[in-house]
Amino acid sequence: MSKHNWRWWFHVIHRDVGYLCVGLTLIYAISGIAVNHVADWNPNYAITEVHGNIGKVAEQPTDDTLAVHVLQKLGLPTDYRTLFYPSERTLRIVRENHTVDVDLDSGKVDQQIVTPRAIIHPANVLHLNHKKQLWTWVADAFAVCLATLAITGMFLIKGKKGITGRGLWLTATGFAVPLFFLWLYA
Amino acid sequence: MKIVSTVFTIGAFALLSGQVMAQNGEKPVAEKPVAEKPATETPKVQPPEKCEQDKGKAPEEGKENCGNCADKQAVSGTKAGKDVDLSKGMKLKDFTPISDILAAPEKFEGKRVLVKGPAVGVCESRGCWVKLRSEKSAKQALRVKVEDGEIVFPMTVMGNEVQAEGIVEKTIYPIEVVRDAYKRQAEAKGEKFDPESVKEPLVVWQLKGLGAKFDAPKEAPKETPKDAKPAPTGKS
Repeated sequence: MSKHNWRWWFHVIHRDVGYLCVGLTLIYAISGIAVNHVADWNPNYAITEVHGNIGKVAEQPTDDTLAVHVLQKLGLPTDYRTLFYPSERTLRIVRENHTVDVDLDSGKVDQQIVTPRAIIHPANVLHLNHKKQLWTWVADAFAVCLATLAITGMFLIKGKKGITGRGLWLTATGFAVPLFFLWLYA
Repeated sequence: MKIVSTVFTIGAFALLSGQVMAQNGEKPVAEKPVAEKPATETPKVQPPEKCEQDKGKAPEEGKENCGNCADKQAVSGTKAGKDVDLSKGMKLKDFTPISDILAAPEKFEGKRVLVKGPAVGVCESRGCWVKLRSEKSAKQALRVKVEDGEIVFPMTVMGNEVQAEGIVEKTIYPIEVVRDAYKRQAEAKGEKFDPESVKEPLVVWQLKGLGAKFDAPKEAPKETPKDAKPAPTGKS
């Protein structure tokens, strides 16, 4: 027979699972705040836009030569991945993480440079489970760990600060907050 | 113990926020869509891609957003195939040329097809759609729309070949929605717009994506390309 009671075990589980969850919790917390504000910014990529004008673009025999001509006018290397016309007179030159849109009549140029954000982008990939596969199981395990922390956390201490006193009110408040918003938005 | 409890609290909020994010993706906030052209008999119109859902302002030329706001008010003109199952992903082996689909989309309506082409447009906000260029013309592209979060197209996929499988579907944007979108576009450019000039709904053909494969783009943080120079502001 173990000499320890269930509360002791709850302490042990809560402590060790808590340590285990620190890394992933911080990742989810950072990503959670980032994606909550997706309307205000792009949480995955830093997008730099550069605008300018190269003047009317001279006709060229092929799209390829046209793209090279535009890139040369911009002083850029002439390599690119593909070409596309988003509208009749706008040529899009797609380079690695770099898109150049040029209005062939006015010469207006819009460049977009995409850079994945150093920490937040990988955090979002994990948090939002972009990759699926094995990570789904890791994320599930993390969710189970959080549930374990929640349940064991309620019973860590006895007395008026425990679940029968202050803890009860705080726990009830924790439930009330999401319920209130569900009611508010219903 | 306090630290552990704090960590738990943050984690719980993070999980909650992730769920909220996912839900937002599935049920986007109603917004006015942006359409590009009125419906024509030949439904080769590209799907709207400039919606500014996220900021509620008029779209800017060249901006490509997720299109969810437009999708929200659009009406599906195609019944989804019975075999639609996101978990099954890709199962076809033969590719259908994008040019064939765009040439006669009615022939493919409701059918499951496998296509491939270089990505020439991608959803900036959620990676929920990608535009694949036709193999025949640089002026043709087919939009592949996936369920938010089921498949995520990274912005770094631009220019890389993407294989996508899905159901060809028709989406209809009501006249009022198209007019409102044009109005906002015109306002953004400081131009006048006559609502009566739009006489028909906008019909858009796209692929409801069920699975996709693409070259793994570099996900590691990269330096801003050093060769990206601002274009000269004066005419040369």
